[in-house]
Amino acid sequence: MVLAQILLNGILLGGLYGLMALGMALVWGVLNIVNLSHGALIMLGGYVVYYLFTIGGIDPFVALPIAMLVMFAVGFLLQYYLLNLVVRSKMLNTLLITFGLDVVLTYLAQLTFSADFRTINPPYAGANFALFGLTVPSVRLAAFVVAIVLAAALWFLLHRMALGRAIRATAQNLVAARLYGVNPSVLYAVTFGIGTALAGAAGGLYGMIANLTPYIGASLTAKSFVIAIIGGLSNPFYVIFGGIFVGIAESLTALYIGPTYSDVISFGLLVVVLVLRPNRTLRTS
Amino acid sequence: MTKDILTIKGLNAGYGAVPVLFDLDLTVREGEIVSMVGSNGAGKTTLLRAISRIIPATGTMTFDGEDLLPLKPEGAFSRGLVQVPEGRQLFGHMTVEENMMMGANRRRDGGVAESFERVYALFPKMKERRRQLAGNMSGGEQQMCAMARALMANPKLLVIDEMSLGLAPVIVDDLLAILTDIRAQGLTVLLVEQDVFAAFSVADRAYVMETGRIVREGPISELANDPAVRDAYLGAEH
Ligand SMILES: Nc1ncnc2c1ncn2[C@@H]1O[C@H](COP(=O)(O)OP(=O)(O)OP(=O)(O)O)[C@@H](O)[C@H]1O
Ligand SMILES: [Mg+2]
Repeated sequence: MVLAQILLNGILLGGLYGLMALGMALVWGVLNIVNLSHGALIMLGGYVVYYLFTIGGIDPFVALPIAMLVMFAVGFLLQYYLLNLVVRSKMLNTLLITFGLDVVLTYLAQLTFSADFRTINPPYAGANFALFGLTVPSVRLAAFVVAIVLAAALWFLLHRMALGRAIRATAQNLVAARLYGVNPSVLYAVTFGIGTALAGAAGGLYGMIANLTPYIGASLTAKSFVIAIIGGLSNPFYVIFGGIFVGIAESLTALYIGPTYSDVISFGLLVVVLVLRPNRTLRTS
Repeated sequence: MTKDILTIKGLNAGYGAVPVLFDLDLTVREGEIVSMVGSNGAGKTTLLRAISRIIPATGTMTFDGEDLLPLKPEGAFSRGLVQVPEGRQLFGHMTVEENMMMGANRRRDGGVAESFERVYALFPKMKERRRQLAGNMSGGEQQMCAMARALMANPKLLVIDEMSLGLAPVIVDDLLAILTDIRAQGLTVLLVEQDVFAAFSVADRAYVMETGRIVREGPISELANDPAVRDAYLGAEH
């Protein structure tokens, strides 16, 4: 029973992890940017939802789509005016510029939001219900469902809509995309905007089940990076599976080895995956 | 009496500081197939990149009565100047149908379904293969897919770079026949080819390019009998 409960917790948390990695995988696959500021953008999205809730009085789940719009705009502008300078350039350049961005965002967050812990605490935060003898925390279940819904929405966008087709086309053949009516700077900005909006949603959900501080970005970037590699860049659902895998592994580690090791486990998994499947392709399709 | 669709005068273009095209003049009239021939590195692809506004250029270029020079690639494309690039450049992980939908990317005229039917009638094989990934097809099929994608844009001028490259002669003949059909439907074509025989078999007029300059131009009947052209390009096969 304990094991089943631990597995359930891991799965629910893992869905959220998958959502965290979704935007990073999209941006990586299409723009070839490993965005080291991705976790900082998650953090920012968390604060947007936090303030919409505490100051605006908006229910955090209702605030999520608003935060996603705000974060889309943030991402669009960042890509259009800054990151387009390094898109498809050497990996080192993109790492340097997004690392710099991470530092700047973290510092600005500390100035603006202070270093205090914040939690998004709606009245139903502690609610849970019993199912087959297990305790299901309502907010975590809702976060899991939101993650699945957003992954499905991203899949639908990429595979069934003209914009998504243009995004995939540009990732596959830039020369042809330009000849066929795609303006790459705008398309990249839209893609990064979508990735940032997804990060924002993840941040809002994260803030409901854990503490927000300006410093959570780095470890969330690392976790997203590991999950993007495990799940690959080609299919949003694989990324969610990757997240669930890591979520379960973390929960089991906490149970059997000790909670202090649960943060280490994702990198352990990364090493295992890279050893077992060294030429795993990271191309998007 | 037929009007010019593309008029180029005094075009200079190149890559950064390296000039490739020098003072080039070219005209394509509505309803014609015009071909541009020349050996490796003459600058044919560079010309097409300039026409599609991928690389900067100076001189004058008019497309369908409008100044082409200030346009971006997507602007030229949405006005009906559509290119089938060298090497096909398909979206390899997308299906044939998705590639064709990318051709109709910027269309807002509601005629996309009808275009699908018309293009599938020209390329029945593409209809059979519509769910197949473009990257997994043979060279000839890929060339058909690239042409089908271009036709989905409902072009006013179809620009094709090295249609015959790497294809078996029978397949080249098929494609040439399709080009003739397309022209019969009223489309204008600028065909860049190294295979002078293939080009001359369908074109009305041709230009010969050498190291970035036009050295000969005229109707096919004239050029095919021009001793210099025969020696340089048709010699081995006559
Ligand atoms: N991207 C580029 N950057 C710099 N120089 C280039 C580039 N592409 C082509 N060139 C140069 O421009 C010149 C013309 O090349 P271009 O590709 O236009 O020739 P082409 O007539 O199309 O040849 P081919 O028949 O082999 O396709 C060549 O000297 C080539 O080296
Ligand atoms: Mg060429």
